[in-house]
Amino acid sequence: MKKTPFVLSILLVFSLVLAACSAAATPAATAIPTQPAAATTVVANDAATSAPATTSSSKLVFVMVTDQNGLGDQGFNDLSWSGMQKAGKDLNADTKIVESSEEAQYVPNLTTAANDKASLVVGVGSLLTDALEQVAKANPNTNFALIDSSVDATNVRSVVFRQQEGSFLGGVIAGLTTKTNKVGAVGGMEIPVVVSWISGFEAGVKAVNPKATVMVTYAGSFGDPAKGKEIATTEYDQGADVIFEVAGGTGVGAWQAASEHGKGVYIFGSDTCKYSLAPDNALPDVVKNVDTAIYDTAKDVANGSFAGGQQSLGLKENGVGLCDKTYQALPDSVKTIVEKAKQLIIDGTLVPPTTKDELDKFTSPDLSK
Amino acid sequence: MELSICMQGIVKSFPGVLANDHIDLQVARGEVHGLLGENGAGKTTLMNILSGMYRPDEGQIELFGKPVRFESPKDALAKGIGMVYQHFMLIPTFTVAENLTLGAEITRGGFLDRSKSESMVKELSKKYGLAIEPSAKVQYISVGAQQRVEILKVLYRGAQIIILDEPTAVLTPQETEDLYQTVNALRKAGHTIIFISHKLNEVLRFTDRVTVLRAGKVVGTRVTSETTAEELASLMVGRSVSLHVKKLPREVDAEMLKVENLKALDARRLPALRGVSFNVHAGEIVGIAGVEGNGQTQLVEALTGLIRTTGGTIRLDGEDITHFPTSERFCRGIAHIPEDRHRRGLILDFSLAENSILGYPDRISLRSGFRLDMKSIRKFCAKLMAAFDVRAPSPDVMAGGLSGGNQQKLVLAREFSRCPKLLIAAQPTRGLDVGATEFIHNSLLAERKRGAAILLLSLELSEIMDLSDRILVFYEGKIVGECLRETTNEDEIGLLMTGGRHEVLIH
Amino acid sequence: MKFSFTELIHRITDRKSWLESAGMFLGATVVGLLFGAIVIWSSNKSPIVAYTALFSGAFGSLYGFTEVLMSTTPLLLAGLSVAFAFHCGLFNIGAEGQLMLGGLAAGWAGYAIQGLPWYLHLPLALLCGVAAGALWSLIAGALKAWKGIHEVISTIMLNYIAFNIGDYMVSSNGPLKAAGIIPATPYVLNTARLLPIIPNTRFSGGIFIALVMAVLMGYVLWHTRLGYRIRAVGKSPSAAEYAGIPPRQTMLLAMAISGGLAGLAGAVQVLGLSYRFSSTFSPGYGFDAIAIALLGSLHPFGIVLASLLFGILHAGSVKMQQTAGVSNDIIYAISGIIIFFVALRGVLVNFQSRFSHKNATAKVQK
Repeated sequence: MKKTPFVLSILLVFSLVLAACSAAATPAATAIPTQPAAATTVVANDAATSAPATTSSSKLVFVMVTDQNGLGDQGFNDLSWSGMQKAGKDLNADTKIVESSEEAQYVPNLTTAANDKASLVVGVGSLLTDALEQVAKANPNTNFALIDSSVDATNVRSVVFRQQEGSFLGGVIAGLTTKTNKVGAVGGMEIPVVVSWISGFEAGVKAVNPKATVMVTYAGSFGDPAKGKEIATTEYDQGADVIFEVAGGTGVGAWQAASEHGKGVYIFGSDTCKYSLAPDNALPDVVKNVDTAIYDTAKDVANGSFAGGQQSLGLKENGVGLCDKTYQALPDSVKTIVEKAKQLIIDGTLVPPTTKDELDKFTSPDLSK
Repeated sequence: MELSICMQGIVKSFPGVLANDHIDLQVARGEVHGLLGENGAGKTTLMNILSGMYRPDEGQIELFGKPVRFESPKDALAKGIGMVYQHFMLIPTFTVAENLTLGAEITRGGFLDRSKSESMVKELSKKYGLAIEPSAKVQYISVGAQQRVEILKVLYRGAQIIILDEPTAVLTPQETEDLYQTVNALRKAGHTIIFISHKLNEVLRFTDRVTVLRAGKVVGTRVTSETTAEELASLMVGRSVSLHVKKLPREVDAEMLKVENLKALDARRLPALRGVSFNVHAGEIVGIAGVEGNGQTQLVEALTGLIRTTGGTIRLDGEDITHFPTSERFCRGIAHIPEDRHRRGLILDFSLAENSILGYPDRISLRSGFRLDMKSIRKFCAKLMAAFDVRAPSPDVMAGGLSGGNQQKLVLAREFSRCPKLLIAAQPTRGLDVGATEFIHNSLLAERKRGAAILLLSLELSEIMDLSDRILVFYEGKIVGECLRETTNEDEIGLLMTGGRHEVLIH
Repeated sequence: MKFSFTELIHRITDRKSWLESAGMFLGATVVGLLFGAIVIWSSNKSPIVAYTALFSGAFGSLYGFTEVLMSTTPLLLAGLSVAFAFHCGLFNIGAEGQLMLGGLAAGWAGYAIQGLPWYLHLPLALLCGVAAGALWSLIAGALKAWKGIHEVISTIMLNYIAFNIGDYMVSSNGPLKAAGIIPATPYVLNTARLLPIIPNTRFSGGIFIALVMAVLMGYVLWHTRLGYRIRAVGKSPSAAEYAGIPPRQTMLLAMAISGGLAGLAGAVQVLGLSYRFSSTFSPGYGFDAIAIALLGSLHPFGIVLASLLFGILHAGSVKMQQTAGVSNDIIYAISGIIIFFVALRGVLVNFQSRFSHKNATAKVQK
C-alpha cells in the first residue's frame, strides 16, 4: 500500500557517506541515486491536440484511468491498456492513459478525461467505483466503462468477471498437484473481487482434494512486491508447495519467491499469462480477458452501439480461462478433470462460491467420475 | 649561531583573516625556542606552514641554510620537521610499538615483525630517556605517556626539529615535570625544539629564546633568561597586565553551602563520589584541586542537580536542596559556569540573546507569560555584553561564531547577573588566553567581594593557588586534603592530588 | 565510525542566511526539473509540451489551481509535523502512520457521532484526528524518553502497525467497513465535512487551516518560552539539561505536537476531500513530508513553498499525462532528484568544512 520511503533511502545513503567520510580522511564514496519506480513507457499517439469526439468526422479519443497501482503490474492494468491500444490502432482512435497517484485524484482524473471530450472513459479497477459513479452522473453525455465493478447509470457499462469460475479450475489443478496437501494463496487487498478469486480457488482445491489445507494471506496492497515475496516465502516455508497469487504488482514478488525457491514448488497467478516470471515453477495462470472486454466496448462506441448496463463475463463467454501454453503441458489425467469441471460450470450445474460464506456452504459434485 | 630554521616574510591569509603577516622567525640549532601568543595570534598557522600542512602565500623557508618547499606534512617530516599536536593521533587499541611504527612498519617477509619493532622502541626510548612500555596498549597508558609516544613517533621518523603544540595543556604538574626532562634530553641530543604555548611560566622555564606573536605579527624575540613574565605578557597582550591577582583578605561570613557525606555514581554506574563533606562560606573561594577524572565533574553535576545522588545531603543557605530539580536550584541562588561551555554552557546555534537567558527563561518573560519577549531579551543581552566586554557585532549573532574568551565572558555575564548566593565555576579559564583569564579572575574576585560563596574547580593548579582561600584536594572520589591557602604550597597539593603515590601514575 | 540521520539533517538545514536557503530551494528545483526534462526527452517526448501541460494544469484554470491547493494541504501539515519534531532533535518518520490514524479517527467521528450541529461536530472530528496522531506519536516519544529507543526505529515500526490497523478496520469484515466494494468507512455526515467553498471545485479551505498552523508554528518556536525550550533541547540536549529544561518532558511534548499535526493532516484530508476514511487515502504524504521539511529548511515559510511545489507537481501531473502522454512516474523522479540534491548538499558542506577549517575545528574541540 505504501511506496517505499524513498526519501529515507536517500538520506540513509548520505548518512553513510557522511559517516564514511568522517571516519576516513579522504572522501571516497560517491552515491548514485536509484531511479524511483520502474519507468513505464506510456505510449500515446500525438495527443497534444484533442478533438471533440461527438462529431463522427473527427478522431475518437479513448481514455483509461487506473487506480494508484498503475501500469507495470504484469497483470490487470497492463492487459487492459494493451486492449485499449489495440482498439486505438484498429479503430484509428487516440488513446490516453492517466495513472492516479493517489486516491484523492480519482475524481479529478475522471473529470478531466470527461471534460476533454473523450469518446470513452474507462475506469480500471473496483477501487474507482464510487469516483466513477460520481463523475458519470455529473457528465451524463460521456460514455464510461468500469471494469471489475458495477455502477448503476445509463452511460456506464459495467464489466464484471466471474473470476471465481476460472479460479475454481486453478484450484482443481492445485489440489491435484500438491504433494504436501498444503496450498497457499496471496491476496492483494481484501476487497470483494479478490475474495471471490480466492473463494473459487479454495472451493476448487477442496473439490478434488478434501485433505488439503489452504493458507490465505492478504498483503494489504497491490503495489508492494517485497511484501508479496515475504508472504510467499513464509507460505512455502510452512510446507505449501503450490501458491496462487491474486495480488497485481505485489504478486510479482511471490513469483520471485517461487523462482528463488527452485524446483518442487509451484505458483500461478491471476489476470494474465505470467509463466515467464518463473518458467520452472509455473502452473496455468487464470486469465481474465480484460483486453477483449475493453476492445469490444471501444468497438461498440465506434459503431455507435454503446449502451450502459452490466456485462458479466465467465467461462461461458470466454471472459475467464486458463493460460493455454502452461495448460497444455499438464498431464492428461489432470486435464480430464479440469475439462469436466469446466463443463459443469458452463452448464450451470456447478456454481463456484464468491464469498467466504458461500464457500462454507459450498459442496462440490464428484469430479473424479 | 648556526640556524636550523629561517622563515622570512611569511604571509598566510584565510578568507577575512590575515593569520600571518610577514613573519620572520629564526631558530638556532639545538635550542628550545618558545612561540608565545594569545589564541588567534597566528602561532598554529605558522607552525602548520612549517610542518607542511599549509603553503604560505608569500615568504621563504630555509632549513639548515638551504631553501625548502614542503608539499605535505609527510614531505616536511622527510626533511626533518615533525609536529606533535595537542590532540594525539593515536589508535587506542594498538600497542605503543604498533602506533609508533604505523605507516612505516618493520616487517619480515611481508609480516609485521613485532619483537623487532618492540626492541627498536625500547632502544629509542632509552636513548632519549623517555620511559615507555612498548607492548602496552595506548588506551591504558597515561596522557603523559601518550605524549611521549607521539614524540617518539616523530623521532622514529628521523625528525631533527620537533614542534610541540601546547604540550602541557593536558598534563598534570608531575607529568609536566617529566616533559621538562624529556625536552632537556632532546636538546642534549642535538634536536631543535619549538615550544608553542600561551602559558608564561612554562615558556620561561622550558625555553632558551622566545618569539612573541600578536595579531599575526612578530612583536619581539627575547632571550628567555633576560626577560620577565611581565614583559612577555605585555608583549602578548599589547598592554601591561597584572599576572597575579590582588586579593583582599577573606572576610568569612555565614555558611552558604554545606555538603555532607555526598555519594554519586558516574556514567558507567561506578562510584564517583564516595562520601564527600565540606562547606563554603559567603565571601570565600574554595578551590577544588585534583587530577581530571577523580570525581570533580560529578561533584558539580550533583550540586547542580544534573545527576542523582545516591547518598548524603546538600544544604544551600540552610535549606535541604538534595532532591530539587536543576531549575529549582537556579531559583534558590545557585549559578553555574560549566566546565564545557560548548556542550553545556552555551547553545552554539543560538544567538547571544537567546543564550543570555539560558537557564533563566522565566526572568525576562515573567510578565508576558507564554510569550518570549525577544525585544527585552535583546536589550538585556546588550547590557550583559557591555558590562563584560563581550565583543560581538550584535546580540543576534550566533554564539558559535565568537572566540572562546568572548563565549566564556557571556557565560560569566549571564551567571553573575543574578547575584548568586553560590557560584560554581568549573574550569572557568580553560583554553583562554592571558587577557581573558585576567578578566575572569578579576570578575571572580569581585563576586567574592560582593559576598558570593564560590566553589572553584580547576585543573590548573596555579589558578587554584592564585584565587582560593581554602583548597580541597580530590582523589578517587574523596577529599584527601584540606589546606588553607596561606599555609600550603604547590608541592604539597600536587602530592595530595596523586594520592601521595605519584610514582605509580607517572610511569 | 557512526552514521547519524540527525547530523545529516543538521547539515542540510543549518544555514546562515535566507539567501542560502532560497538558493538551495531554487537550485534543487531547477536541477530536478532539468533532470525530468532529460528523462522526458529521452523517451521521445517533448519536455516543453510536458511542462507546459504541467503548469497549465496547475495554473491554467481556477479549478486547476484549487486542485493544487488541495494537494498542498496534507503535504503542508505533514511537513510542519516532521519539521516540528526536527526542531526538538527528533526525526519523526512516523508522520505517515500518525496521519493514517488521524484520518481514521476523524472519519469515525464524522459518521459515528450524530446529532451535533456542524460548529461542534466538525471541530470535534478534527480534534479526534489530532488526538489520535498525538497519542500514536507519544508511544515513540515515551520509548525514546524512558528507554532510549531511537525514534527512527520505533516510528517506522509504529507505521506498520498503524497501516495494519487502518487496513483491518475497513477490510471485508472490519468493524468500521461500510457496505460496498471499496475498503472504506461510511461517508461522514455533512455536519463534519469541510465542504467546498468555491462552486464547481473541490476546494474545501483546508489549506487555510494548514496556513494558520504554519504561522502558529513559527510563532511558538521563535516567540514563546515553549518554543525556546524545544529548540534548546533540539540544538543541545546537554545544554538544555544544564539550564534546567527537562529534556524528556520537552521531547514528549514536541513529539505529541508533531503527531497532532500529522493527525490533523489526515483529518483534513478525510473530512475535506474524500469524506470517508479508506485504507488507501494517503499515497505517502507522511514520507513526502520529510523531503518537504528538508527542502523548506525546517522553516514554516520554506515548508509552505516546498509543499506548494509538490502540490503543483502532483496536481499538474494529471494534465501532463493526458495532453503530453508523459507518465506520472516522472513526478516521482523529479521529487527524488530534488531531495537527492538537498541531501547531497549536506555531505558537500561536510567536505568543505573538513578542508578549509581543519585547523579551526581542532581549536573548537579544545
